[in-house]
Amino acid sequence: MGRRARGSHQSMEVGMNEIDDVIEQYKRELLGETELVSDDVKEIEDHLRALTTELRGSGLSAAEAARAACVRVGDPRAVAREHAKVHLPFGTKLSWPRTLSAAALLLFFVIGGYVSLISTRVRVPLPVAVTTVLATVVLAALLARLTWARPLILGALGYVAIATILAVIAPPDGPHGTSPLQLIPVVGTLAFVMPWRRGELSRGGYALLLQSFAFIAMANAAARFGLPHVDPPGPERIALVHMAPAALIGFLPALLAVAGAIMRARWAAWASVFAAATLFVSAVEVGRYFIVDFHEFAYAREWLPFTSMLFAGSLAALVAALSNRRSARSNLGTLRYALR
Amino acid sequence: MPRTVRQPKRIAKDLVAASATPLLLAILQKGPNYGYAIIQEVKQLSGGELEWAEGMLYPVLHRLEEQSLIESYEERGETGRQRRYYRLRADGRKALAEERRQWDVVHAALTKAWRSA
Repeated sequence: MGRRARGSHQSMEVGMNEIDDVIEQYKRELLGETELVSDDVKEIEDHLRALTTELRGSGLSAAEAARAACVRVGDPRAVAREHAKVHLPFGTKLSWPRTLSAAALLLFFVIGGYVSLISTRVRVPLPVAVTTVLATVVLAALLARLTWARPLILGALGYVAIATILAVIAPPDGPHGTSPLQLIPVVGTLAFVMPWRRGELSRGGYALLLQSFAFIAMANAAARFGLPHVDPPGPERIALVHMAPAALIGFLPALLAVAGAIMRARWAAWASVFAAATLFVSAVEVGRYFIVDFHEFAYAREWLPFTSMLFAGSLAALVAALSNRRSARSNLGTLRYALR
Repeated sequence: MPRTVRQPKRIAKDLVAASATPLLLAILQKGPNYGYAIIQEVKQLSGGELEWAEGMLYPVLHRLEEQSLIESYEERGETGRQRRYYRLRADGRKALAEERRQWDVVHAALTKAWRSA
């Protein structure tokens, strides 16, 4: 090989190294975004290399051409976000610190649930037992970094946070008040896993969040039926003893609506409408009992927070139904999304 | 004082987004193709007027694939690297026919409106 040929070969090699460096750096940034899988990155790399070759033809040096190609392909974060909209139907994956903080709080609730379940002194209503088992499933999904776990947790924490705030503002009569300190772990975790960045939760993710909120409202209402009669009975308990068992009837549809929303099934919207209707009936029943049967608003502090949460759950289920209808992908749904 | 030359405005983002699906389906109707070549084809078809953010093409292709309008397969390209190609499916052909009908309606309405203006 002549000196000139060897020189040109060497400069080509240097050029290739420069291109590789720039593209590797871009790939690292892409892979840093949790939404992308390696096949996506390979496809973008192929594009970058083809574009770099084209730009080199217009007289740019190897490094300049590779850098210009990266600019034309776009900001890695924006590219990842667009991919996430397609690949992750409920939103982006949570980072490990955020995952673990949500998991720690959920674990606390789950352990508390199982302790009550195995304790012989407390009679645990069936909806609470079912919710404890479901919380375990969500905890496992969260640790497996499945994307539907996050909106479910956000919806449940949102419900717990609002209900706790209401209980702090208007504590029901009884020996145990609600301390504002109880809010700290709930609101702290909620703030930590909240979708602060645009596009962190998709439309399907928000629908699931509302569905989860409605389910917790339903579980909370349905659970009151199983509570033992206490003397003197708390107003909430009296109300629920006299309330039509709409929440018990709506419990299964609310659960199915959550499952259907994860599977992006069209029937989830109907299950959610049914859940919204039963929550609405429950709220009207509680309100009606106090207003019509007690003929006064003196007890408003007792029933208003609980009734408000039932109305809020009903509204959440209704909005979720509309959103589910839009984000549904098939009539029956598919398990494909449950594994993402 | 030199006269300033007013640059023609780029095609609005919404219009670019709306035309992405019919354009991609139409390009793939001609035969299987891959991302970079599709971008080149769009540039050529629009005389350089339609400029896509290149990295954003792939999520659009993946969405069409999820909707079963197109499908992808891997094949070794001319550079020797594995490359992902896309081709139209039967549902994609139907979707393209429907897109075409709708765009024809819009085009005809606009043409009439501008003629009578």
